[in-house]
Amino acid sequence: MSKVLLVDDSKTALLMGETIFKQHTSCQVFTANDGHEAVQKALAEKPDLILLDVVMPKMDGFEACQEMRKHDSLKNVPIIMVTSRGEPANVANGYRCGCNAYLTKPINAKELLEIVDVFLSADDIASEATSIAKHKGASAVE
Amino acid sequence: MPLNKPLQSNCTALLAGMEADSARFSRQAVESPDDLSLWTKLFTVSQIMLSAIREDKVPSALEEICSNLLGCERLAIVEISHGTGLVQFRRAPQVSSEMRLALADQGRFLESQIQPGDIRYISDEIDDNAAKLSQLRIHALVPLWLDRESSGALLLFELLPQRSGFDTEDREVLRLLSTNAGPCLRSKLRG
Repeated sequence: MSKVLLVDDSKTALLMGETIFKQHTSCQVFTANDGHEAVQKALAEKPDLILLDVVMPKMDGFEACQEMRKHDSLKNVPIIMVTSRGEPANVANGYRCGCNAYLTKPINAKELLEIVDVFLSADDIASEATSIAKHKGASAVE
Repeated sequence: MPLNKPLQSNCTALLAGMEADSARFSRQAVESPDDLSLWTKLFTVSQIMLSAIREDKVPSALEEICSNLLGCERLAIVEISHGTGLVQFRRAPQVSSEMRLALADQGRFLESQIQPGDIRYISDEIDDNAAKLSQLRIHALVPLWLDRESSGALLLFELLPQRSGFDTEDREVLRLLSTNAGPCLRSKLRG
């Protein structure tokens, strides 16, 4: 089972993200409310994917991303920046800091799952299709 | 201040209704994968509003919802007195004093734009009223209802640069807010 770390200072954004992952993937979800907490949790939990907001108190997403990349255990963990700041300069800054992808708010659940699909193992996403098929009374999708 | 009995009873009914809606949205998100984004947003809104009522933080919850789910970072929650058009700002953190003055001057006009079951989107209409809303930099005027009477409005101003307008999902979110936010704003479960 893959682990996902969601980082945002907004309760609304975290709940939306948690709901999407819990309902449509088999991933285990962790959350953090600022960049500093995100780095600590990432080091402790070793997530397989990190969704990182940019504008946050204490340490912003750019700094947190750079900080994470300094640690061997987090060097290759995919980081998706999720932010309302979609201006080209901000996107470029995100990539310079080491993120793998950039999503702008408001989040569309389908778009998010499509991007997550690129970075996580097929098993984590396949469980979604299975649960939907079971819910509808169809046979499980292999 | 403790609630009087009718208002306490309204609050209980409101919470029960919102809990039921929330459970339905959650089911729909699983059963209708084609519309999962919509149902997930509605579920999120209902849960955030429920928690905001319990914590007595409804105005800030509305601000968060509009920022994170609709891409609108500038809004005002206003009460408009019936007949006089007196505008009172409940929350308008990013609205300048000049804008507040302009809105207050147009209180009667804003009151006239609050129609039952009707959210005004300036992008949908080309008439004098839409032009006037546009002059006030209002993107959408969402009436807030309380016991079938208007209690004010949620005014949404500029959207984030990546947003060109409100899509179908946004409009469903705003419809839910229009129905629930008025009673939520008046609900104070903690004395």
